[in-house]
Amino acid sequence: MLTDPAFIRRLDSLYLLARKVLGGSLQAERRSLHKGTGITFADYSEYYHGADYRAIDWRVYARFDSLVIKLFELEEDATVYILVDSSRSMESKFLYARKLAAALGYITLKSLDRLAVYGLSDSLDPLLDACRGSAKVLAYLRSLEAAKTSGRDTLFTACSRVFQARHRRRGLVIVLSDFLFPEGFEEGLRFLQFHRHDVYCLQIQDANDTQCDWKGDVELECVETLNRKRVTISPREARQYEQAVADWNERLRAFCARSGIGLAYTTTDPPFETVLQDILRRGGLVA
Amino acid sequence: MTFLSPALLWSLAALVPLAAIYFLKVRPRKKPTTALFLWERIFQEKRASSLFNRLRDAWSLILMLLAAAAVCLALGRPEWADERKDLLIVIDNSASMSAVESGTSRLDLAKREAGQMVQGLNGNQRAAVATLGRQLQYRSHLTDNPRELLKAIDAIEPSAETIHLAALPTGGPPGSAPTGSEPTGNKPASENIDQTKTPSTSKPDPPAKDDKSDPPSKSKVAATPSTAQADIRTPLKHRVLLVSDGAFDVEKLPDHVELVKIGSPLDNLGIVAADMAYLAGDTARLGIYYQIASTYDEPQKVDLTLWSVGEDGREQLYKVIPLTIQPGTNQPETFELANAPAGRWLAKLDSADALADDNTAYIAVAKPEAIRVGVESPDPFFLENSVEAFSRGEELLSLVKENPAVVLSKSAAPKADLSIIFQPEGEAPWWTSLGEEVEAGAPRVLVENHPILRHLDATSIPFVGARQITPAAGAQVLVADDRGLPLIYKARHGARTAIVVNLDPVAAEFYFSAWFPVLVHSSVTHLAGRENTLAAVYRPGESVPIPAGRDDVVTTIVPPGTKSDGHESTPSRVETQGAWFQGVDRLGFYQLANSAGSHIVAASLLTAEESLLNNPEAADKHEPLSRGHSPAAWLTLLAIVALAAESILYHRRKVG
Repeated sequence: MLTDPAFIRRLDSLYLLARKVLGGSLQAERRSLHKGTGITFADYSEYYHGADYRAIDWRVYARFDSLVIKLFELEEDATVYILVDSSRSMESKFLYARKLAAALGYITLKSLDRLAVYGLSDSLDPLLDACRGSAKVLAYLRSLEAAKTSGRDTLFTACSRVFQARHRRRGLVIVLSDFLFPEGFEEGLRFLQFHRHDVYCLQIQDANDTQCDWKGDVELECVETLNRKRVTISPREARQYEQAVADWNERLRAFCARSGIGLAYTTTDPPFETVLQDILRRGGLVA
Repeated sequence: MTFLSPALLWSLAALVPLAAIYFLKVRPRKKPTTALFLWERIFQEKRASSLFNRLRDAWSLILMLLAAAAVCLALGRPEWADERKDLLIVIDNSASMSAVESGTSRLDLAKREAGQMVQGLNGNQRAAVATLGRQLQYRSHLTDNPRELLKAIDAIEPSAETIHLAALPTGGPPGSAPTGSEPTGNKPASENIDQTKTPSTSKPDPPAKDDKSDPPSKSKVAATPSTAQADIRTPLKHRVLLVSDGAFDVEKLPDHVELVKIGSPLDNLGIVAADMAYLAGDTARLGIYYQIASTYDEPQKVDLTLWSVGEDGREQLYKVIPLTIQPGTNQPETFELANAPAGRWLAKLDSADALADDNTAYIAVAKPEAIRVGVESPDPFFLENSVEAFSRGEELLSLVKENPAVVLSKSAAPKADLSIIFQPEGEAPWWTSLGEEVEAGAPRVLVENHPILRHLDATSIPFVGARQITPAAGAQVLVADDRGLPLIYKARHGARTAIVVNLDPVAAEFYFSAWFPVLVHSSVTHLAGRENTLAAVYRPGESVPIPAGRDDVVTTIVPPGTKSDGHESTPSRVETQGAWFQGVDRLGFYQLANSAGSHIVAASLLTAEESLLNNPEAADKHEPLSRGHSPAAWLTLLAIVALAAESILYHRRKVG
């Protein structure tokens, strides 16, 4: 499905939109903190022995009789890391998540940025090794299409550590998940941020996550751990659950806002293009 | 506790599969969730109700099994011992129940009490309703339908009869039965109540035809089909409750009958005995006999007035007698009235008391009218003397020359309609052949208690001079010898009747026998239809001999126009045939008319037991009725409550 020509055309449309809106990058400003031999003036610096004399700003010397050199931004390749929650809790949302991941990865590869994609569950499963270029698009889409949910739990923090151990290079980390992690999401996101990644959360939930239509005696079974709990659900408990989910989502939103982490929330109802279009029009994957 | 349908208790075995089905039913639905940790947080706060939740399934099973067990037990119809026997509610509607206290008659109080009993049964017990006066009269079938019973109770009317406790169903040894009834074997009395197909008006058996024998006795009153069934002496499986004021001899109340006493002590004066008759030998003076009873604690001064009632119904005061009535039954008194006319008389007590029916005594006095007797005989001396012997004194017979009603003859066959023939001779319609004199054997009475033979010993009469005789067809031979030779017989020929005495009174020296005048008197009064004279007054329920009454004689009876409760009603004529009139049920004057003439019959209460309304010896003696709902009803209610509770738990299981 993800390799259908029709689908790829849809991805292409999104890429064109991204180029138009964000100049081809998922990140509206791709500044580098490093100064180097780029073409964009960044700053002045004192001349030091051995510095490139072609960088000396003679006008400043003429005026101020001071030797200074121009510093230029170092153009670096952006690296986009996509972490797709592939735990069993994402079963009903996995296709939607993969479509979003496919779109984001497509834009990245078409923008000649580096892309690496992993699946998140109780372990970090590589879906696409770090690569660059349009030639990798099809391979990527095939890899996504073949991905399945797995795992007995979602260990976001552990997966974040494993991810960091593999990739020390900074980049844009896009986490696609429902963020219903029993151990919480703060530690993992903080860890990623600590290691100077730009983190963007794309929360995907559906009615199964947010609503409770069950009433009476029910045996709840966790789709991941297969733990069971026998309960009697009255309308009161149903409302409490929906409120608990809403509170959980609000907690995520508040944390992301405090932490400068970008967050977008969607359900599986709207077409995935709509979600991405909205993100792009808001300036991309920024906080 | 007993179970009326123990076989249905086997339904309890259904509890086992029911429990198995329940366990299959209560398994909850399995629902996958992506946020079990959130659910756990929610239900962690409800730790306090976890015990209830754990036990809830157990409670649900217990309630369901409880409901099923209750239904199974209810199907077995449990009862507390034998409290719910069938009931026979007998309401006393005798004369004393017409006494009024606080504006309500005792009968209304009894009906109200019976109605409350029926309503208290709540349709869980079968009962039948009957009334008791002179007879036991069933008013309803044995049923558990309260409406039917209440309808029967409402329809009960008062009567002027005296209560007759012997009519109550008895509980004696199995198999024995009262005289005159047909035993129905060992059937339980409750079945006998069931067999009462229709509410019956049980009447006593009529006496034999043309036989002025003893009137239907009291012992035979109860021996009618419906009452006989009630009288069957079998162990009773039902309770008999008599709702009464207790105005009867308590000693006569059967032990198994439970008395529900109603009414409170009342003050009452009543005439308990009364009679009037012309004095012997003086048809111009009327002797009056009366007796008064009182329930007052103190002596009461009251006037007794005597009234003569004319043909037009107008009452004429004849005498006022001031009396001082002591408490209890006073001594009887007598007095005489001169030049008092025959006919209808009223004796009234001027007293406004509880029971009005006993304040008036209706008395009918007939002037004695001698039977005109003629004599046809070659030697009439002894025959005439026998008639004249009864002409003196009470003037029962009168010797006449012309237009006799009855003719005494010897050796002749008179042409009179009524004749007594001694020593048959010649030809006559009374015999078909008359032979020579024969020596009669020992006489045997063939018809016991015939009015002609009632007061004499026919076997001691020497039938000397008897002739070989063949009575006319249809003759009734009263006395014959051991060879069948008719000695005294009664024959009819059209409208004529004759009594033939087959002996030679001279040869038999019968004229000198004490039986001669007795035979003459009995025969004359029998032929004239006057062997049973009407009494001056009868009590309701008593049998009245109809003058000249026979099966082929129609007698018209006009009952009193006023009922004993004081309500006017249109008298309805009754026609009857036979020698007895059984229908005296109201107080007042009855007019009887047939070919022999017309007569007045008076009916008055005249019963001390009914007038003495307060009987302290009659105490309330009944076991409490099983009012309220049976255990089966409560078990059903329990089952419904348990099912309702289980439904709530089930609903919570399904919808929280």
